[in-house]
Amino acid sequence: MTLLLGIVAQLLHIGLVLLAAPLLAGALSVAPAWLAGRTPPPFAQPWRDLLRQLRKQAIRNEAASIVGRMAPTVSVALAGVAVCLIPSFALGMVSAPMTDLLSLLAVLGLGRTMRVLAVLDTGNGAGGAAAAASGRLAVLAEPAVWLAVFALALLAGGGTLDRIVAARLDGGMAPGAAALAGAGLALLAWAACAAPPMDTARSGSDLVLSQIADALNRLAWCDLIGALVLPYGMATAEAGPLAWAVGLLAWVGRLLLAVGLLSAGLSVASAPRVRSAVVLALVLAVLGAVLALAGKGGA
Amino acid sequence: MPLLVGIVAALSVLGAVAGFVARAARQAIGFAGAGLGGLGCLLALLALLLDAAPASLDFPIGLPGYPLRLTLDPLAAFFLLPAFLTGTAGIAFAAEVGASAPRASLAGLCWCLAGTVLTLLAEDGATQAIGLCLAGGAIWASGEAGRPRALQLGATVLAALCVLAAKAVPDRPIAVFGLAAIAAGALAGLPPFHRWSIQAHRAAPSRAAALLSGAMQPLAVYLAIRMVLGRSDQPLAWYWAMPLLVAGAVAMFQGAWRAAQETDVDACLAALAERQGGLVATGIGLVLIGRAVDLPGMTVLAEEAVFLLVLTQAVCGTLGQLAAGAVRDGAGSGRLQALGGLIHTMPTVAIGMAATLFALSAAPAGAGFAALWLLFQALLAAPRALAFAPVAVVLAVSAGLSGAAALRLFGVAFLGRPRIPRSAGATDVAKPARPALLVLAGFAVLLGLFPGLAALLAGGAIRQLDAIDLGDRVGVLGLEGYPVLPQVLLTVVLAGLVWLALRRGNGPAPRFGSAWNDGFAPAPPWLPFGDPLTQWSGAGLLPRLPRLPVRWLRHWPKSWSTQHAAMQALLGALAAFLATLLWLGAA
Repeated sequence: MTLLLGIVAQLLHIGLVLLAAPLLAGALSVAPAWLAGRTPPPFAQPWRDLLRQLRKQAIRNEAASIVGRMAPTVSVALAGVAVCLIPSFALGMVSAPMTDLLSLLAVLGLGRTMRVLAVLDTGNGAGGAAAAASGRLAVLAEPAVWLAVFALALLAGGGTLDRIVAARLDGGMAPGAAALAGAGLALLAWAACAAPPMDTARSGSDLVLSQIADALNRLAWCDLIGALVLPYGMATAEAGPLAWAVGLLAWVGRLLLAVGLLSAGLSVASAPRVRSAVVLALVLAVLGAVLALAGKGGA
Repeated sequence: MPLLVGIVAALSVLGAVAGFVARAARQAIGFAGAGLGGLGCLLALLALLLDAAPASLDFPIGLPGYPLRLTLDPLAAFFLLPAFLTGTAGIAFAAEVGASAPRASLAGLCWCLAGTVLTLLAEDGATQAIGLCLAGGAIWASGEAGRPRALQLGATVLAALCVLAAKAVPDRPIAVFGLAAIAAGALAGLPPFHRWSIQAHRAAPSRAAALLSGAMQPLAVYLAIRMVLGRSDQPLAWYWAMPLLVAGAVAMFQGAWRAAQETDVDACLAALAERQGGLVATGIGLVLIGRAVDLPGMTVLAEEAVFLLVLTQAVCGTLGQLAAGAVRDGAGSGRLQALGGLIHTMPTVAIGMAATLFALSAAPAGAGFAALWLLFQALLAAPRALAFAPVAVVLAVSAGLSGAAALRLFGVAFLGRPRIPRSAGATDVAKPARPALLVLAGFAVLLGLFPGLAALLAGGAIRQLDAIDLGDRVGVLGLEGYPVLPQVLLTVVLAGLVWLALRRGNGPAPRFGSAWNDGFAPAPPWLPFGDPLTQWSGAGLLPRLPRLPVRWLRHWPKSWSTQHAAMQALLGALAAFLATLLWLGAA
């Protein structure tokens, strides 16, 4: 019965996130205008643009190789994996053992690397500079991810996201170190969502795929940070549909909060601020790891 | 066991013969050597899979009272596998593409493999030292003489002397530990012996550099494990792990930083190999701590990481150096600024290099990620002590730097447009040599997807070292809690669905043309591949280190750049941080 409930919750979760990704993209196009007091564009405008793009012919650079051709598809698949595995409304889904936080974040990082490689594949000067800037950020962001996850796993007694969120719900984590590591990851999420697009020379289906990957990445980061920072109301898969409904409401609330914060955050984003945020995330993650190691006494 | 001894003898004879015969016969000798290496690989694999009992063979030769004795135990059998694998690939490659190479080249490879195997099988220090000298001397002799080669030979001889000295003081574990650390550090090019490594990799022919990277480094790890961890009856105190952790941290940071800065393909790979050495030193340090505080879970995780790193280094060190040699031969240069777009002209080499870099960096589903994941799990299983904070920080920082280094090397050399006309006319490696590269690339991918395989192969060695059974925690399909294989399968399914949806979508087929170049004017006709200056050069990937305010430090000594001075200051600060935390943790 538990397995069956786990499978049903997983399928429901996949359906819901597939529904939420376009809604989140629409909300993120409407909310900034709404917050600034301007007339917002239609809610479905991003997706209308994508459909229009899909009918256009893609122009690929002559220098492009198989890496450039495969990268958009692979980056959508990688973002899809992250979105499918990060729990939204319930813990204990059938994918729970696969939610090792380190590998989930590494999957998101690999998606970004694929896009950098695709840009380098064109041999385009400005694209190369953007790719170098993104790589420079990754040099700092990757250690921040490893250390933040190390701190959280140390505090929760295990590295899977399910375990960490459950420990957070039980109040079993030292608040200081967990807050530092969580704040570090939140800054990284903002930096990942606010980084300027690299592949500006794409068109047609390639552009559509890279925008879908963007939308999925943003949803993955929102789900992840929401689950780590505000896991309240999250159900367990075996608790049944009534608890799921409560978890669903909590998830919608978290997403609405994320849309508000992200809209405000994206409006103040600039390259130097993103860089500073990543450096700050690394410092917070180091402090989180040191505190987590110090918290339980000496050897 | 007699078969293995026969292989060593036959390889030595082949090496001797290869020095005197004509070119056509040399190719046949190369194939025979590769066949012998392949047979050795199979024997080692059989010994590991069948969990063969230790066997010894005595010879009526040697010093008075010290007869020559060769022993095959699970630890030696595990290390025979990477040695034979690397040797086979190197000799096969030399036979295929290097028929025009100097005579000493093929002979050197055969002797080097024979020397490596002799060191692995030897039970006494004298034979181990002879094997080491044979392997190091063979690599030294297989190329042009020069300072880097002399340094490499010097490092090997130093390692041999340390091994001999360690056998003279078997009852002093601390002296043995120190000598083992010097021997392994000198052989693997860990700080402070790192200077010779990059120079020697650059100066050696690619086949010899492959053995230097793929056989000598695992040999260094073997010596360290045999001499330091082989005596579980007298575990060293936990603080003896600190020199290893410090040396490992410096090597990890320095290797990854250099790899993201070097201007040469070979030098980048040698620097990544230095980082691998640092990871191994950290792993052995964690094993020592796990033993000292009696935490078998931590010990096993760190040992699994070390054995996985050894196999990865053997496969990827060989593959990377062979691919780098193919780039040098096919594209006329190993300098990154003279390359570009090689994926179009050298697809096989591009596959080999991609597999190498994927496994050596910390990209998920690569063997490097699996090893780093295991080391972090060992740290999670360790006692809570602040002394582990710098280890975790350096592991994480080196992961980020190695990813940047891999991205830069592949992005600049293999993607984009050719930077000079010579690289546009690059030719892929000769057809008969392609399977060697592709098979090694397959092994590199396999190790990343199934890291449990390495742990299973090392099961006998772990049992021999610590009397711990791996049990159900490790299977062919993976390690407990390591979720990468299902994630990879899910990625493949989703990518397939996206691809199918696009095909079904009936959208117009893509067109190839000059893409929008942000308003830059088209290149003049005499630059058929575009203006090379409009392509990214690979610079600017590393964060800028703070400039030192002290003026005299910038000018003294004159060879120091500000960057070097800043790096030294950073390393000094790291060491001070480590010392402080150590003091706090101990208190």
